[in-house]
Amino acid sequence: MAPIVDGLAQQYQGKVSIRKIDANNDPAAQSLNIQGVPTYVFIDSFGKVLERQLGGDPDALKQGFEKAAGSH
Amino acid sequence: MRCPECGDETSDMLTKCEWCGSSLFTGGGRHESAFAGQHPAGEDVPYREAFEGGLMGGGEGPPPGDPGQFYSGPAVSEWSTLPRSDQGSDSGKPWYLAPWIYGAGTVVVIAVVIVALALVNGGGGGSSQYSSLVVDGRPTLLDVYTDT
Repeated sequence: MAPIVDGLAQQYQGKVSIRKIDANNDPAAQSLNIQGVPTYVFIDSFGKVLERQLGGDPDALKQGFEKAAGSH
Repeated sequence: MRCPECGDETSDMLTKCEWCGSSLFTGGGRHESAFAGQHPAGEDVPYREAFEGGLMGGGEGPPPGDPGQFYSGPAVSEWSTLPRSDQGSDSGKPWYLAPWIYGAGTVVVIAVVIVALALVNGGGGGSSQYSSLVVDGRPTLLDVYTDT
């Protein structure tokens, strides 16, 4: 999934930022209540959750990027 | 009864004729009282004396006995002597018209509105709770991975 995410990150550069979180070592993972990996959580510029995805679905990821890019 | 002086009909309850003012018990001896020797003509005979003397007639008035029981003032209904608290609620209004009911209701409504606004604007469980994870002030994808 990493190549797909990297490609979408390049496509939406300047509109959507990426932050990688280690599920085992990053304290942020605890607050995100992660049920499994990989997990993708799209948040808007205020930190509000827009979409949460468990597992790697390229089409769902692209839709998530679109939704995040259209938010403020 | 008919006045012995003027001959007009007048009330039996009066001692004097309501038309000519003359005493109804003087002259002619028509209504000679048993107490004529004790009381001047035209003077009322006290109740007590009348009862003891049998003037009021047997059986119609209260029986002879303790003079104090002949007249003890006007009859008073027991309903008129009940304490005010026994006659119903305040001013006779039902409980749901009490002012404090409306005050409490207003407070409850305001509290519900405040909670609803808090949930819509700031709460909602999770909204804005990840603001510390935002990168460069833009929408952010949190990519949670593991090395194992």
